[in-house]
Amino acid sequence: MIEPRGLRAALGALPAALPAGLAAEDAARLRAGFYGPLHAAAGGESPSALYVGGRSGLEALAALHRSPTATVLVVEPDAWLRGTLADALGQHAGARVVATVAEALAAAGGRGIGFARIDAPFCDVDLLALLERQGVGHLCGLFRPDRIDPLALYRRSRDQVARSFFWREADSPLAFGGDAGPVEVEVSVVVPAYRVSAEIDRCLASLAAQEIERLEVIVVDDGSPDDTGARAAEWAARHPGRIRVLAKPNGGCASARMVGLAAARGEYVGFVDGDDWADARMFEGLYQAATLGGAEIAQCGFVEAHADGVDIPCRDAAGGDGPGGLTGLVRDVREMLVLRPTIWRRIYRRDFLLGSDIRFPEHIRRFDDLPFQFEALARAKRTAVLPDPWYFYRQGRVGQDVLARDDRLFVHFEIFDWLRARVSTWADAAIERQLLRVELNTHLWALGRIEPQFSAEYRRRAQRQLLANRVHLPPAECLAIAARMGRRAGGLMLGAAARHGWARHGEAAP
Amino acid sequence: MFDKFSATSSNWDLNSDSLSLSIVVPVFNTRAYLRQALDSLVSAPLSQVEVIIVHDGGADGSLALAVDWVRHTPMRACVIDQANAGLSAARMAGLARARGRFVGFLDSDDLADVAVLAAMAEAGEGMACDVVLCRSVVLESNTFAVSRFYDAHIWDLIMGGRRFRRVTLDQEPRLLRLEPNANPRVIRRSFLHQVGLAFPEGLLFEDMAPHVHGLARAGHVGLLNETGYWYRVGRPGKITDERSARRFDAIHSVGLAIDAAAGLSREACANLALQAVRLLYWCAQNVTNADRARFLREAIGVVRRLEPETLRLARVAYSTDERERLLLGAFATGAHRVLYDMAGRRRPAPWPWLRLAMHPEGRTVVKLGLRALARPALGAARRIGGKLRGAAHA
Repeated sequence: MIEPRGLRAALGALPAALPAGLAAEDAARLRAGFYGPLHAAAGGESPSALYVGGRSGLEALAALHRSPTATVLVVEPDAWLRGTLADALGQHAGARVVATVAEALAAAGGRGIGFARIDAPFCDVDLLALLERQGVGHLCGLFRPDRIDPLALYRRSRDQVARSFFWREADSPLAFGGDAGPVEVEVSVVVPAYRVSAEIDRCLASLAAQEIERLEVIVVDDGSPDDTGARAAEWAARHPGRIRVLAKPNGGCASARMVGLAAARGEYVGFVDGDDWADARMFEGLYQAATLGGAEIAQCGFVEAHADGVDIPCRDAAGGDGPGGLTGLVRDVREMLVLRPTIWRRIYRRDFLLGSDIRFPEHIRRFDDLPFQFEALARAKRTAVLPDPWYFYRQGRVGQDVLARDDRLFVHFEIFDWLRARVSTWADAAIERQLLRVELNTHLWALGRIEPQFSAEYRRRAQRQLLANRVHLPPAECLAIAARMGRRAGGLMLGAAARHGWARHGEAAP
Repeated sequence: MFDKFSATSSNWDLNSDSLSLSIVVPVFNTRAYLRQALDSLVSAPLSQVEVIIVHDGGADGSLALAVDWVRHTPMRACVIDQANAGLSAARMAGLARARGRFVGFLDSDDLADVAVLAAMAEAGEGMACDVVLCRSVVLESNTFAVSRFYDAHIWDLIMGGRRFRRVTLDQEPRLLRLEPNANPRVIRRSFLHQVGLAFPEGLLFEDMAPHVHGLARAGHVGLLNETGYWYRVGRPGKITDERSARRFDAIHSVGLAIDAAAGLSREACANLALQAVRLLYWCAQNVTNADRARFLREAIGVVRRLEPETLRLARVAYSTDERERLLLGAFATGAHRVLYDMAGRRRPAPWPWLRLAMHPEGRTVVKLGLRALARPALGAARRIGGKLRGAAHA
């Protein structure tokens, strides 16, 4: 895949004394991008490369062939291998083979290290502290998770040691890196709060207690008439720099979330409702999953917390690529599109939301999380999952949206009109099929709970909307999808077809 | 349009007779990546290479960063500041200042191995090549992991393990299947002026026509089998990720490339056809749903400007996989609906396939399509068979 400059020449001139098997492995690694994009020092009049753990010496040799004026420092504690390497590299003026990192850094003479590659046995906190003093251009190598925590390694590399880095876990497919530079706030949590004065203390206490350090909590008081805002302000006073409160005139949950999103500074953004709460591990765990996976979205499980104290955990991880399939990056995000709206158990990379203009519909007063979830998951390229039920979703509080049983449920038609208009410009047929499934699920749920006097009108409007203006799906396919979802969905769709006919569908004719 | 030096490094005015390579870096709102890109250009033989940064408008602080870098770098470097005029115009502005015998380009969010670029310029001089190309890889921005560039298998085919090749386009028509991106290459400056190589202004996918034009007119083309370019993907707001009407520029660019290919061998045109079909189909997947039908109609139109025999040769002699053969056949026969369904991942409508089967060129396409459709079914049958056998054993 990669043909690094200098490698071919180094292989051609490989001294016989060097361990050949290891050299073959090193060559294969360089060609496969095993240590990330770079393999030698980029820079300066006298570029410098540091190899901690000499291995076969091939990398050092390749770096010298790439740039003959480079300073190449090799650290090898094993005396025999050190002697062999010193003999092999000795003819190059810029090469030094030493026993300890401290010696190597002394040899570098205070100038920064352009490139450093660390072998697994050497990667620990002490080494990072040494490198931090010197500063490294590109840092890469292997680590063992029993010697250093991957997230700690990520943060340390990014914030203090190197301009760019790439780490791979020994004997594991996990690899991560970046060159984005230090971040001030890792996660911003937006808390829309409206008339939750009895519940918000528990919510903010749980956020104040989060393990993740670089967290900011933005409470948006959506014009609550009670003392929700005052309570939030107390928490903000107790945790300055971590919790702040924005007050705005009442405008609905979507508008509150948008105000919070606009004020957020974090690399990732999460949304926690003012009446719910979170396990102390939640945002540290999500941040680790997202950032080490290079994912736009990370998700955990949740708990339905009922008023009578019964907790029902939900761990619906959707097929990650980690060991056991319960963690890691989701193989097919499309499967997640039909999950019920649970936007609060995720974090979303902020530049991804802004760049794709994914937003909450401010003109729609409830269920605004359905279109947000659909768009975010459909547009994300990488989504990481964790099964742990870390978000506590309070059930049965009076005033909750999901308790509505009357014509407020008609808001669904507004939501789907809005979502369809946005999605129809770019969605392919696979996404449109999932959207149809979401619509059918939502309508069946609503028809199952709506009061009888509204039921007929709801059904009529649902059927009118279901077939209209599909981009990719002909009515027959819509019917087939519905039929596979069960008798009720099939019946609803059949009714739509019977009532509005095949003619109403607006399949774009090429 | 105005342009001015915003900064020059301390050694900018030194005698420039010995300059071997000028690297032009157009910059537009890429502050987060600019530092890494520029640092990747700091090379050991400093006297040989100059860096020309063209700040093409924008207001994200890229200019300040570039100026600061130029003031402190040991390289011979300068920053030109101009009102926003687009990538192509920025490259041209940089070229106007270039003094090296060879010139190369680096997009300000990518990385280069300057040692490779310098070696390419050296090889170009020593081996009398007007253009020298190198390999590139993909760099995933969020993980910093690397992966194969899509033309890697073509490189492997062309090089066959060699370290360097010096060819003409007639000897190696597969050159036209390599990435048309202007970046992973160096071009002799006198050659560039002599053949009037210019990037069409204000056009996306602007590299394709100059790519064909340059390789067609080069006396010799050098190929250095080393990786010199890291192409960053997955950052928000990258031009080529835009899903918009600007994808139509691709059709225009392919048209210009076909113009530039006038007089080339059939073999070369066949390879151009493959490159064009790949680009156009990728764009068809990414235009808006409302635009897709029109896009494909125009795309088919431009591909069919190539002779049927050329398209047939591309399919028979140069396609490397079934998907390519299928796409080529579909473009060649004007199977609009087939492409439309594929690009939108729609359930394929049966009648366009039937009509395609009536067409002499189309039969292969149908056969391939049926095979592609049958594969999952065969797999399922095999699985069921396996289960039945397993049950029988139990």
